[in-house]
Amino acid sequence: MNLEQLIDYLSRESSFQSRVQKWMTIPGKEAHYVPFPSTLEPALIEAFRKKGINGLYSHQAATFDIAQKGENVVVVTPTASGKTLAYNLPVFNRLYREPETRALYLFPTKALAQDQLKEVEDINLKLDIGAKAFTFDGDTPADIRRTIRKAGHLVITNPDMLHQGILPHHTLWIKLFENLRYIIIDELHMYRGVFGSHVANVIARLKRICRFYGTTPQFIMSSATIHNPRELAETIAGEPVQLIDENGAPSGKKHFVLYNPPVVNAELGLRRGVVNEVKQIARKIIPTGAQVIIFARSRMRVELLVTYLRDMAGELGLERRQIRGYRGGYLPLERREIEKGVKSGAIRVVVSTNALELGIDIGQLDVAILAGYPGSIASAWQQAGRAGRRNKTSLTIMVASSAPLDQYLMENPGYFFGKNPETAYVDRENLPILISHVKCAAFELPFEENETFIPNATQTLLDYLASENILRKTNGRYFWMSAIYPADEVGLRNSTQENVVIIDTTRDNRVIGEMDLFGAQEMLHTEAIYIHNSISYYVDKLEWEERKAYVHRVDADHYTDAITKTDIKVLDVSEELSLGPYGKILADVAVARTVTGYKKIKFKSHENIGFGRVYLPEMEMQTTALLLRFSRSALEEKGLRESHMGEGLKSVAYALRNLAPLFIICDVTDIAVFSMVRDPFTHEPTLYVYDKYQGGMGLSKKLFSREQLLLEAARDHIRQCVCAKGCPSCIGPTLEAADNSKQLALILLNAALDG
Amino acid sequence: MDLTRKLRYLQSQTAPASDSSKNNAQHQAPLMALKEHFDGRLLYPEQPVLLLEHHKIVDGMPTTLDWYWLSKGEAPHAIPIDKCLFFDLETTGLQGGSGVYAFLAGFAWFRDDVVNCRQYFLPDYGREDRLFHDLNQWFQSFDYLVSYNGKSFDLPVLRSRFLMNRLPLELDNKPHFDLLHMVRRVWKDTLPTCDLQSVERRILGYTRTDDIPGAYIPRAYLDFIQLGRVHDIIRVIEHNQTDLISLPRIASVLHNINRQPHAALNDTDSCMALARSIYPMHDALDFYLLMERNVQVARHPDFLFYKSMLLKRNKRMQQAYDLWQQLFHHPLYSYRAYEETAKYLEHHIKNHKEALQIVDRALDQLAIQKEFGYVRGDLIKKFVHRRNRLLKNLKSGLNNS
Repeated sequence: MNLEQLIDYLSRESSFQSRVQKWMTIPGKEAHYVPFPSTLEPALIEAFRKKGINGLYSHQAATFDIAQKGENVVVVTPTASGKTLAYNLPVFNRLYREPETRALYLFPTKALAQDQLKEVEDINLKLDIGAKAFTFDGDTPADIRRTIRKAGHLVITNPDMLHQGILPHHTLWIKLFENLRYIIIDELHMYRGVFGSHVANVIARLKRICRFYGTTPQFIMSSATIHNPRELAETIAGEPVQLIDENGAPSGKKHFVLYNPPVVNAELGLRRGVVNEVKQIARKIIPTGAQVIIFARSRMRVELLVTYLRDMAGELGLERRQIRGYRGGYLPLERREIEKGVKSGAIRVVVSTNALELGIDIGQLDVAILAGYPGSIASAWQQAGRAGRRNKTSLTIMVASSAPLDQYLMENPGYFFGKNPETAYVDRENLPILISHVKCAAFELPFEENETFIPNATQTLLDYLASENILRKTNGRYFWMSAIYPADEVGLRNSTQENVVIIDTTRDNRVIGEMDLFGAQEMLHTEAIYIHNSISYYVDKLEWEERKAYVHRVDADHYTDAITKTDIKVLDVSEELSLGPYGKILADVAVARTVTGYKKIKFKSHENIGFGRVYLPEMEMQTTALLLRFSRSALEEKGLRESHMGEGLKSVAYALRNLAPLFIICDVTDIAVFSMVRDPFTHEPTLYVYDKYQGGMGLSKKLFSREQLLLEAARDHIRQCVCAKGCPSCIGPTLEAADNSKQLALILLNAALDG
Repeated sequence: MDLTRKLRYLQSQTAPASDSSKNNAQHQAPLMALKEHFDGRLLYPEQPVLLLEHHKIVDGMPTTLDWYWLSKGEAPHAIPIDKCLFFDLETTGLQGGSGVYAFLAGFAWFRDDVVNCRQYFLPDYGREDRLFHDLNQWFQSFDYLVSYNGKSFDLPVLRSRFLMNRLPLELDNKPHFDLLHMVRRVWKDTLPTCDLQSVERRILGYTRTDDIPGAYIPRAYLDFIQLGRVHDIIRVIEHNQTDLISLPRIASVLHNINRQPHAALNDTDSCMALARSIYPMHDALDFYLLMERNVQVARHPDFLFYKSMLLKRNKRMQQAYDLWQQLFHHPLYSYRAYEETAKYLEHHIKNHKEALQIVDRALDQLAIQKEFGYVRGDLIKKFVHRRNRLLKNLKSGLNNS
């Protein structure tokens, strides 16, 4: 059966059709070509013509024109739209005239960099320029590194390597920095949140080094569709950037199916689980011979799906080994093997987290199934892009979970296909991150007294580090004064460099993975069931001080879910605005969090079958929070008794936290919401929405200006939800005996929004 | 909180920043103490750098140095020793990177039986500019640079420091010989490590007392700057002096080995390591002929085999053939000797019959070893292959013997 036939079959299959909330067919689009720009070297035009290319896509030409003017540019394009040529053309054009030109390419991962090297070399070959392109990463052998430093025109790397391997050794890279004209940043939308604020700082360091060598390179960037690509580009680059967002590339017809599992309990608003539904869909699709990629939201869910699908491998006409999982935490060799298997077709079903969402070369599969909304529209389209060959028809099935975000999208499919409202945020002022990069920068070059690294605060920051004896101030300059290599102390991706290693005692104490400290408290506490590669492990002991978790394999019928306790304190208010019915405050807060216990949850039925205690030290963080302060008296006037306010606040909190990713690209786990009826700080019923990251990552800062959109989405969603008195899809689990929490939440939101 | 306030909050616990240039007086004292201790001189009074000079009579140094073989042809046969600048740095970091500061730059040169040392101690950051200008001038009076591990550490650090001061490094254009590389060629299998102290102990027969371990050096400097502690920095300066004196002495030992390996190097393991590393050189045979004046070496099977291959390379086949005959009975080399002999008989002498006899001998020996459980499938395959070819040639009458 080919894809067209499969689509036809599904469109007539009644049990499948009954679950389809919306079957969107997005028609293909013709290419929009324009003639070659006049400033493009005639020889290059000639080379294109020889290859039968007689023009450029409109966005490629537009990007080129802006770059030719010497301005920075960010081009927003979907996948497979010729963006590689868009950002390479200005580089190659200059290389043709000035063969010493250098360009630095940044990709979010090593794998992507490797992949892009092939594309760049392809263009290089086509245009016959003879530029030398190299990837530079942790695996690059020493002798090749020497060649790259001296002779690499195009250095393709990742921010981590720039941070640890290039900038601290800039004197070895003099050829690169003295001739650096372009900084290419692809997948810009990935640089958000914590990673984004690290990268913005790394770029600021890069620009400092360039100034030292007398160069001011231009930025050429590309991003997936988000609400604020230009703002993000300007924050990362630290200077003005022009935006190109009209895409001239052709596209194939896309079938995008929104699939909503049936309600199994209307009272509780419960739908059949995503995992079960994906199993049903797999039964229909996989036996047709289609190669399928399934994206799951969590590592845990990947493992569950692999286990279930393998159990039914016979029924699907596959062998167990043709079904594989893929996620972070697998060892690199294992990953390479799976990538190869998928590409060669030996693996028929791959279940992955978003780890396979970005450009890693696994070829194109037939069908993409999104087991739950991936959390952002940009990712959803990127995951969908894994299915279907270039400019050909593709099929993506997104299976909604009962999560509020998924259900909101099912209710409002237009949101999904309209203009993307998701905002990416970067906080360059996260103090711990900023300080660590000022240290790295000082190691690279001494700071001058009047230098600006971050507006308004550079001097104070430098004096602080000098008083801590980390820098030495002498004769108007600040010098690095320590025997350590500061870049080694800072990882760009994690909150801390510290990890807990997971040791399997049943197999000669082999290390099977590692996890950050916060994650480890929740998933690797003593007595937890930890699932890795669809195998359950029992955690015998979490040696917290040694950062080691000792586990052994078990055959468990349940998994564990950690219970955490939170305590919050306002340190300082940065902004405050009273809007009549409610007030909003942006504040710095201290949050203390402890894992106090865990629940045992049975597989499949998901019933709660037990409980245990956990004794771990409290983890404290300082972060930013958005406080929403309601008026007790106004709420009482609307008929909300104080004894009900707690339930109402909790319900609204749940909806806000879960719907926030509609407007801010983040993970539901990046933010937390906390509520107090009698808040010691505001003395009113108050909600705290805070960044779950040391120093804050700019999330609540962004929400401070968009809170009304969020409150409205929450109200719409709670109203439209199919449940009677509130359910996990809208306001969270409610106790059977409780009052109508849904009603309480709506009173609160109405009071806030309508006054 | 805006950033400044957040920082103030952080800072409230810590003391205000001090600009050290403002309290120079407090800083002069430890520097003066160092100056007194070493009887040194302060250069550039407004941004002082401490210069320490030191001389030591060393007997028995050659006037020219020859490291031709030990440097694998990189060095010429005669380097005038008074044109060599020996150098060694002490730095604030051992990992490298542009934040590493060379706070002590030591140089030595040899003239009229005397090793002259000059050490420049930088009592604070940002004192490089004038010194580097002057050093570049001074460097012009030397033609060669000699260091210990300087190729991968000291010179790159110095180059980086000059670059950070926007100055070219005059030394960059001079031939640079790293004694560590030569030492490794000789002693990498016989010394547990080839660091300078081990070489001093084992080769120069000299043991340091109260030497500061390398890992403490950065801390010693930071303590000097922050706390004015001089005790450890004195040890660092002495450590650097010792390094500087050792460099010409090691240079001379290597020179002797290079000139007279048979007399200067008496342990066979080191001789063999050297023989192996010289082997790829086009004129290696000349050095082998020198080495074999040592009877122990001349008899060593490794040496015999390498020499035979060099003879082959030089088309002295008959001599090579004689050596292979000797190696037939040596367990490590018998098969290679058989193989080479068979090749020689087959391709040069064109005596396929005799070549076949040699191959059969090898196969017999392999068969016996197989019975003892020592199986060399790859070798058997190789010889069988050769045997089949020889048989075919013999049959088709190509054999002219």
